[in-house]
Amino acid sequence: MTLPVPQLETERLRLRGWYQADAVPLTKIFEHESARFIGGQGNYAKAWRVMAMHVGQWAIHGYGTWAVEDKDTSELIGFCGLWHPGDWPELELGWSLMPDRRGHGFATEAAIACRAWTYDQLETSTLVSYIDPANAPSMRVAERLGCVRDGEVQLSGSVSIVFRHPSPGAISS
Amino acid sequence: MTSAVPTIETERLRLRGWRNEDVEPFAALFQDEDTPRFLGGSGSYPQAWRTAATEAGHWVLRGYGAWAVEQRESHAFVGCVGIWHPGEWPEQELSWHVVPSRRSHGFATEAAIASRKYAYDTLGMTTLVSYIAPENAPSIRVAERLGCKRDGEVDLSGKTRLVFRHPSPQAAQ
Repeated sequence: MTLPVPQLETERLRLRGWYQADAVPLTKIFEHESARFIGGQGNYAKAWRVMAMHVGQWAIHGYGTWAVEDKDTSELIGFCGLWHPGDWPELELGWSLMPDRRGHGFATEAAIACRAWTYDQLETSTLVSYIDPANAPSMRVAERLGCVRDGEVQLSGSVSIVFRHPSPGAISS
Repeated sequence: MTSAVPTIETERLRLRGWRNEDVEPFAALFQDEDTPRFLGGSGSYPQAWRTAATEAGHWVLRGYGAWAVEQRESHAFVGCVGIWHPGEWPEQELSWHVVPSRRSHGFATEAAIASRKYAYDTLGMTTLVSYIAPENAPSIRVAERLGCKRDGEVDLSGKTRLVFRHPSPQAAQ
């Protein structure tokens, strides 16, 4: 059984649907202390469930997150895309990279492609990114993406800063 | 977008793919004081959404999974029954979770028999287990009604579970 997850390509990255085998490298993200910003640290068991949940979101909503790989090596470097669980106030654009792949602009590059797809394919004219106040690297990505701060929100019992993305018109103009 | 989860009907129940509207009644499982310690979760609607998405994603990744179960006539949501096989699980597990208001009607047994028949006849599985917490007496009774035999114990995510082995495809006929 496969879902028709569209494949997106950028200069350096390929964004594709998830494969079962991705849970093994994905574990590196959840073993890292920064996983506290994306729902908590964990092992392979956690990574497998998170991956299945992301795949399930495609089945439920028809959109979701992409597995992001390095175009040259086909290695999984992280994930990026849309996240909208039932308790989320708005449609969120999120990103998470392997610890050893940070600092190269990959999150920004992937997020631009996801945002373009979203504005093109879904009936939405706005997107937010919810970022933990302690997650300075992600806030820098949001700023590079042209987001502006739009208050705070309580999510899963903790406060996140709301970064609002530019509208489709503001990006294309 | 739909993932092709087969629909199965029994005398009183319909086993079908997950829908967004299942989350609210499914959340009753996560509010039940008796249930979270067996499922490994806590909370209500947010946890139910994430679990339903994980179940939906399991179908896509594995080609099989757990169904949303409803009563045939009223369409009332009954619970989650089917095959659960996250990455680190030693074997394919037949599991059942019925919301508190629908228990003690034999629904878990009825849905599990249909799931097991599908696993054996359609998927070609040759054995199934159910992992049950030692203190979960109601589920142990369901396993016994299903003809399972105790087959040792297993450590799952740091918790001890009794292994109940189901009758083989020949014996279950």
